[in-house]
Amino acid sequence: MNSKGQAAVTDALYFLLIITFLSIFLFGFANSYGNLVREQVNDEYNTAFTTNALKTILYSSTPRDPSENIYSSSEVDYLLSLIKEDYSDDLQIDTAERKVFGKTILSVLSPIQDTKDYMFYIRVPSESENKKMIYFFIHSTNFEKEAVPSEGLGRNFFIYSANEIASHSNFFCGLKSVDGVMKSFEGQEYIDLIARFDKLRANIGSVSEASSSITLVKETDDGELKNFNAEVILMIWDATWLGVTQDRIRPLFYRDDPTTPDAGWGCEDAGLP
Amino acid sequence: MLNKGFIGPIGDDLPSLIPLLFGLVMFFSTFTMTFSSFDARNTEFGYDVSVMRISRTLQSNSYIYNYNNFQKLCDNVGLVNVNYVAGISSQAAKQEDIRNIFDVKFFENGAGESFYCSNVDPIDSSGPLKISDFLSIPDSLDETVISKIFPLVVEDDKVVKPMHLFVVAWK
Repeated sequence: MNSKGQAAVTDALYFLLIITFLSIFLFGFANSYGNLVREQVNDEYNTAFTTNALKTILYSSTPRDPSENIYSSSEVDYLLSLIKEDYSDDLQIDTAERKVFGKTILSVLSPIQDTKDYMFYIRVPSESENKKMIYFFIHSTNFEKEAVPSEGLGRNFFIYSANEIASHSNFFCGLKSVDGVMKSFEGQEYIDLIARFDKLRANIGSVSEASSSITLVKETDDGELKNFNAEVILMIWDATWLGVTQDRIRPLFYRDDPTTPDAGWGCEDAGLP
Repeated sequence: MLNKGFIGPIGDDLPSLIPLLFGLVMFFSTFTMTFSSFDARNTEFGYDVSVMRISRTLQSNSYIYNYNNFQKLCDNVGLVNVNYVAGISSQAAKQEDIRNIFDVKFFENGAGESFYCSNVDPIDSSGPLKISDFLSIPDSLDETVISKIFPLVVEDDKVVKPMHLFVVAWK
């Protein structure tokens, strides 16, 4: 009879314990509810944006003069026609056309230029043709690396922030100078570039990618025109540091200075704002 | 002696009622909070789905070949459970400095036709229409606002111009 009250209190405490666990579970569940759906909605948007951007770049008209814009130029052509025409004679895209292409890419992707980095390239992956990087454009953020005092933490910490004056760099890559003329990477250089590219891709986190096939034309030795397929790819990712870190001793794109890409990439400044 | 400390059948269990009530209050509070959170997120997803539906309809194949084509796409949007304004702008493609999405002006072709559609009337329809003519910054503070941007091309005066579709929805 004397233990009756104690038993009731013990039961109530057990009840409280069960309720506490249940509440924690419900709280955790409520917090994580929808995260997966949110992620899928974002992925869907990123994919739609990238696909639309690629289509827009390929459909667009462009001024033939790189110093003009489409709204003021008197001589306008389809961007792809311009590239096709320029490529067919010497199997290279010349500096002026590279810039025209770069300007269109920058204008189409301008809404995301501050938060995302991206690359756009055209390559010939076919076995029947000489494997070649026809066009390679990279837009990357000029991060500045600042060490945070972290004595005794057992590890160094850094803050990466975009340069306030020139927040981004634009490069044409996969190029080498031959007799003073910039020519596209092919053969072994192309294979090495693809290896670097694969490494970069594997380390930059989530990537939105869209690709398409285009037909280019080349002039054969006997003067005839031959069609061949090339692949156009647009890749967009969250702006991130592509240099060396404590855990990554080999750089992805540059060592410490984002404006100076590694020599193996064969980059030159695009000269575009 | 046997009844020492005994204060009746309810009085004896009184101390056990305190953790019991506390547990019940805790459970129902968490339950209500969880339910509200589910509800808020489901509503948010509902808005997202509406915005995606509007965007997908208006984007079509990313090629708008004239004003009538855009208007037909607008008519296909149908009824949605959010207020929205969607329109095409050339400002971003021209790399003009846009401070915020409310400053985005809609593209007008040579005939003065403005490429926008909405299920609300503009507050001020004089001059080139902007997103802020449909939803002002102060009003947006009291609303749940979702915005999306998609690149597309518009054929204007036989030139295919890169532009952007802006979709802003609120409730």
